[in-house]
Amino acid sequence: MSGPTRIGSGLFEQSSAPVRFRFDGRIYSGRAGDTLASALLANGVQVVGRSFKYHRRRGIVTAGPEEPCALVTLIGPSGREPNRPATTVPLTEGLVAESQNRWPSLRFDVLSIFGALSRFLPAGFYYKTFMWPSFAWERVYEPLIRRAAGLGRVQPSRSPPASSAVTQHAHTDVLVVGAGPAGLSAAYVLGSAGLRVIVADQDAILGGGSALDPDWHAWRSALLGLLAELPTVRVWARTTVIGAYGHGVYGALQTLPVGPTPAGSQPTEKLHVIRAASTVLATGCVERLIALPGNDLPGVMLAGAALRYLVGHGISAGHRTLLFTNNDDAYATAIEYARRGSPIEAIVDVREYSPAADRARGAGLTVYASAKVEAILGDRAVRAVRVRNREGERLTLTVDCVLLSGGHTPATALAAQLGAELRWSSSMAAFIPDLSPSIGQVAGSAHGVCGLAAAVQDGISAAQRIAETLQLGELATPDFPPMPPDAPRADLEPCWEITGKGKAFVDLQHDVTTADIRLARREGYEHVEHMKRYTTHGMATDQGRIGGLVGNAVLATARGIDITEIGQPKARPFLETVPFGALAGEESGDRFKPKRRLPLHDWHTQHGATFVNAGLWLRPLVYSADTSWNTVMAEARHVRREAGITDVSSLGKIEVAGSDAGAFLDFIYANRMSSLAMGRCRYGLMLREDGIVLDDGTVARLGKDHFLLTTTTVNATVVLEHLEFHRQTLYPQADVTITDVGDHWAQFAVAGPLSRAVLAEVVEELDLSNETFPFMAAAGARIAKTPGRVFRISFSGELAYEVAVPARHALSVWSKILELGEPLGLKPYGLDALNTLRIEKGHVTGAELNGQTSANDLGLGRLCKTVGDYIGATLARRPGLQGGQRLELVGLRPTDSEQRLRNGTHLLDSENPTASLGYVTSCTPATEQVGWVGLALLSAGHSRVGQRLLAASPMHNEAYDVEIVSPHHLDPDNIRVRA
Amino acid sequence: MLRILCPHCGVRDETEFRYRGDATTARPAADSGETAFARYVYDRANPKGWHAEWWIHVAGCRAVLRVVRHTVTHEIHSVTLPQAPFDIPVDAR
Amino acid sequence: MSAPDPVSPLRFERTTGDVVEVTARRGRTRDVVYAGRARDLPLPAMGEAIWSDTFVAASTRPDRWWIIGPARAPAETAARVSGLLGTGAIVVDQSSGFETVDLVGAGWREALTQGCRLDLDPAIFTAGQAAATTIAQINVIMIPHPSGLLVLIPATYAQHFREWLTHLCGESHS
Repeated sequence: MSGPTRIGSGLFEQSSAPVRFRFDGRIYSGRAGDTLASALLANGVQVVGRSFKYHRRRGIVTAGPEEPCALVTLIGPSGREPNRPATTVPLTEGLVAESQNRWPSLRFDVLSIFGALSRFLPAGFYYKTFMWPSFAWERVYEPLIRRAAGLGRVQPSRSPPASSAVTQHAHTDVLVVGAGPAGLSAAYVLGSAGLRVIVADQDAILGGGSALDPDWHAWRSALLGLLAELPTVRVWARTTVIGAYGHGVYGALQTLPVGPTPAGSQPTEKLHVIRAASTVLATGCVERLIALPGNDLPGVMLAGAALRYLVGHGISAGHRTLLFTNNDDAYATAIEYARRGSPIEAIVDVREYSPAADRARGAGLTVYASAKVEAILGDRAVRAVRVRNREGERLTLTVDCVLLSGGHTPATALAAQLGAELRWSSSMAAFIPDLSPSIGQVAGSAHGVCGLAAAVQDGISAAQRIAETLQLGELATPDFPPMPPDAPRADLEPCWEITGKGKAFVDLQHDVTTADIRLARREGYEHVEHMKRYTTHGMATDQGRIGGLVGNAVLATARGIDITEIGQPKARPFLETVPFGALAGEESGDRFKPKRRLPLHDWHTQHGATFVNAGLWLRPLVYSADTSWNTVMAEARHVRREAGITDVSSLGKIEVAGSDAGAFLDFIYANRMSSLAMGRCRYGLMLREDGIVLDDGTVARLGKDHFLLTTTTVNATVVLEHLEFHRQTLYPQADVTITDVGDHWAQFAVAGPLSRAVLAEVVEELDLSNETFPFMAAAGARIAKTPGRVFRISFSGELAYEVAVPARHALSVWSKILELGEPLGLKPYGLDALNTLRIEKGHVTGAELNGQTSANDLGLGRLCKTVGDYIGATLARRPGLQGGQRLELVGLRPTDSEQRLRNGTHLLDSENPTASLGYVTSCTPATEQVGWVGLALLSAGHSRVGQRLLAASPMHNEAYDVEIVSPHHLDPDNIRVRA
Repeated sequence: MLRILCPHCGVRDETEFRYRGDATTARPAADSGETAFARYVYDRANPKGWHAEWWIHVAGCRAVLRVVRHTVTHEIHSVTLPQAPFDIPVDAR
Repeated sequence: MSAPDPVSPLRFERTTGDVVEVTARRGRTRDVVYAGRARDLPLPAMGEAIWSDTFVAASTRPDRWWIIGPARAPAETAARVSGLLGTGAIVVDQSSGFETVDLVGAGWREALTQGCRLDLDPAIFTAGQAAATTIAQINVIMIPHPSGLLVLIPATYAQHFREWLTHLCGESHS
C-alpha cells in the first residue's frame, strides 16, 4: 500500500457522517470538517493537477491558501469558478470540482510531452520563441499558449445570484490579523480594556499553532471563550485580509459558513471593508520548501501541512514517510506520525545537533544528522529518496511520502503593503517586518518570535505598544489561562537548494526551477523584480509563498551576494485569489448603479412607454413598444401640427438667491444675467475656464434676488458643483445661496400651435396671451389648482410652455392637463420625438456640447459679454479658438431626399475626398419636409453654407452628396415661438 | 482608499468626495491676459511629494476643501476650507 | 455593536412629511439662529438634530438646516418657516424633493453596515445627531432617533432605495 489515507479522526472533524462529493466525475466521500484537499487525501487521491508549463503530475503540497498545485474549478449552479485552492474549499455535500490544466484527462495529458521537451522550454521561452512574425502572435501562438499553459477556464456568466456576495463596512479601533496565540492574546488585552477589536483569521479553525498542539488545546478553548464574552470584540473565522489600502482601510474576504444548502451550491462570500485606527499583524509564518531534484513529485508535502492533516483530519500523507528538515519545528510532525502509528522511515536533518533531534530519538525515530536528501526518486509518485549521510555515504530509502521543511518565512505581504521595514533574522533565515507604530504592530512568529508561549507574550506587548500609540496609557493585563512552557530549541541552518541532476523546483505553480533562476541572471535579469517577470517566479494565485525566498536565495548565490542584499519583490493586493463576484458584491446586475425615476415613471409605464437609460435616468423614449421612426415621427409631427406634452423633469434645476446673485451669475454665464428683468427667462451659456462650452440652459428671474437655473439632464450635477466651487473659492463673502431643487420640481413641456389653448384650460391666475405673457416670460401660477410656475420657452421650435409643479403633485397635474387637453388634440411625446424637434430647430445638446466646441463654433459667440469678467472670458478669446479650420455647427440635407443620414458619417470634399472635414452629430427624418435633416460639426463650417460635400460612412458602404445649410432647418426667424 | 478628515463631517471615505484638481493655483485677475490664464488652466507641477488639491465633499456637507496630500505615501497633512491659511510641507524624503 | 434583535425585525415606513431647506444668508447666521430660538424653532449646530413637537431640525451643512414636519398644503410649511426665521434666511420648499423613510427595529445599525460607510456604533452615531452620507450609492441624510433612523432620500432615487431596503429587510428577517 502507498499514498495518503485516513487513519483516525481529527480535531476539525464535525461528524463522521459521510459527505459525498464529485471530483473529475468520480464520486467520493469525506467528512464534515474536511476541506476538499483533506477529503481527496482521505480517499487516496494523490494526483490533483497538472503543472502550468511542463504538465507534470502534481499532488497536494500544503494545507492553506499558499497551495501551488491543487487548484480546482468548482462547478455550481451559478457557473464555473476556477483556480480555487482545494486546501481552502470547505467540503460540502454535493460539491462538484474538476482538476485543471489537463487535456483530455488528468491521468493522460497529451501535453505532458512538454516535460520531455523541457530543455527547449527555458525561462523566457515565450518571449524568445514567439517573437516573429508578429502577425502570428495573435493568430497562432497566443491561442496555442493559452490552451497549453494556463490555469482554470473562466466561464463568463452574467448576473450571479444576487445573494452570492455582500459587502459590509466595519469600523474598529484595532484590526488583529491572525488568530494564533499572539493575535488572540493581543485581542484579549485590547478588548478587556473596552477597545473595539476585530480578529480576522483565514482558517475555519481558530488558534493557529495552538490548534495543532494538544498541550495547548485547553488554553486555546479558554481564551476563545473569554474573547466571546467581550462585547467589543468580534472574531471572524474563514476571513482573509486580502489587502491594505492605506489610511487604516483593509479588505477582508469571508467565506460564510455553509448551512444546509441545496446540493452543489457554493459557499457565499462577504467582503468586509474595515477601517481600523491600528492593527496587529499576527499573520504567522509560511513553511518553505527546499529546492532539490524531484521535489515536485506527488507524495511530497510540507511538514507543517502534514501535521495539520494528521491532527486536524486524522490523515496520514503516506505509509512510509521521510522528513527532510533544517529546523526544530518540523520534528513535531514526525513525532506525531510515530505516536499515531504511521511509520517514519527516517528524519534527515542538515544540522549537526538540535534538542528536537534528541526528543525524536527518544521517541524511537532514526535521525540522520548533518545529512541531506540529494534527490527524491519516482516517476508517477514518490518511490524512494537518496540520502547522503554525515559520513558521505549514499543510502537509498524506499518511501512513499517525503515531508519537507526548509524553515518558516513570516507572512510579510500585508506588512509590506503597509510600508514595513524588513530586517533579516539569521535565526529564522528570513525577513521580519517592523511596522511604523502609527500604523500598528507585528506580533508572534510573523515578528520572528519562536514558540507559542513566547508568541503570547509578544501579543501582549504588541497590545501595550498600540495603547501607547493611541495614547491610552498602560492597559491592565487581564488574567490569561495557564499555558505550557516552550521547549528548548536550536536555530535552523539555512538550506535553500540541494544541487544535483534533475529539476529542482522553486515555484511549483509556474514550474520555475533553480536552473531557470540562474538562466535569468545570466541573461541579465538579475534584479529580483526582473527575475520574477522573466521566470514568472512567485506569480499567480499562490504568489510563490512557499518558494519565493528560496528562489531569491538561489539568485543571491548566483550573483555572489548575500541574501540580505537581494531585496523582496513588491507585495500588492490581493493576498489570495478573490472572485470578481465578491468584489462586486450587491453592485451587479440590476443593482450595479442606482436607477433614477421620473416623478411620472409609473404613468409612463402604464401608457406603454419604452424607456431608455440616460445616465442613471430612465426616460420614456416613445409611447409604444414599437420604437421605429414611424412611431417617433407620428409623435413629433403631432406636436408640429397640434400639441404635445413631454416630461422634462430630469433637467437640472438650481435656485440662486441673494443680493449678489445677479453679479455671481454674470461671472458664471458667458452672457449677462444681472440685466434680466423680473418675470423673464434668458438662454444661458456656460463656458469652462479654457473657453470651451460647459453647458447651456435657461435662467429665469423669479424675484429681485431670486433666479432659477435649468441645466441639461446629463450636466445637472456638474453644473451644481461648478457653481458651488466658484461660490466657495472666489465669492466667499458674497450674499449668494445655491440650492439644488432638481428633485422637488416636476416639469412638463407643452408644445405645438394649440399649446396656449390647452394650457388656458388648466392655468389660473395668469393670462397666457402674447401681450401679457410673451416669448421668454416666466410667472408663478396655479396649474390644475396646484401652485407652480409657467415659463414660455421652447426647445421644439413651436409655440411652447414649460410648467413646473412640486413633484408630489406631478401626476394629478399631468393627468388634468391631458384630460382637458386631449379633446383639443394634446398627446404625450417621448425623448426621441423631442430630439427630432430640437434637431430641426438647430438647438444643441450633448452631441454638440461635446467638450470641444466653443461658443463661436456653435454660432453662439454673439451672446458672450465683451466687457466684464466671466469664467472662460480670457481663454475664449485666444487665437486658437477663433475661426480658421475649427469644426463649426452647420445643418445638412442629403441632395437625394430618399437618402437617410447617420450620426458619425464623415463629410469630405467631393473633388478631393482625402481628409475628413467633419462629421454628422445628430440627424432625423424631417417632420414637414421630405427626407432627412441633420446637424454637423464641419471645418470652417459657417463659411461652407450652400456648398455640396460628400458624406461617407464606409461602415455602411454609403457615400452620397449633402448640401450644407443653416442649422435652423425650421422657422429660422422664430415666428412660431413668438406666435 | 483615502480617509479625509472633513472639518464639518469628520473622517469620511474618499468615495464621498469629488476631486477637483490643483489647489496651489489661484485664478488670475480678469485683466491678466492669456498667458496668465493659460498657466492657471494648464500648467501643473505634478509633484512627487506634498501637493494641495481641491476635494469637494459632494455626499456630505458639500464644502470645497483644500487637502494637502503626499502623492507617494497618500499621507494627509491638512484639510482646510478655501479661505484658511495652509502650508505645503517640504518633503524630507 | 448591537446584534440584530430577532424579536423586532427591521422594517421601514414611508412617511409623507414636508421638508424645507433653510440657508442663513452670508453674515446672518446668528440672526437666523436667534429668531429660531425665540420662535420655537431651535436650529441645531452642524452635525446635530433637534426633535421638537412640531419639527425635526437637522444640520448637515454649515449654516444650513433641514426642517422636517407634517405634510401641509403645498409650500405652506416653507412659508411658515420663512415667517419664523425672518429675512436672514433663504427658505426653499423641498417637500417633493425628498422621500422620508423611517427605519424601525433594533437591527438597523447592523443591517445598514451593508451599503453605509459611516461608523454606526451607538456610542458614535446616535439620537441628537445627523449626517449626510452615501448609502447604496445614493446621497442621503441620516437622522437617528431612540427607536430607529429617519432617512431623507432624494425623491427620484426613492424607489430604487426602497427596493434596496426591502431586499435588506428581507435578509434580516431570514
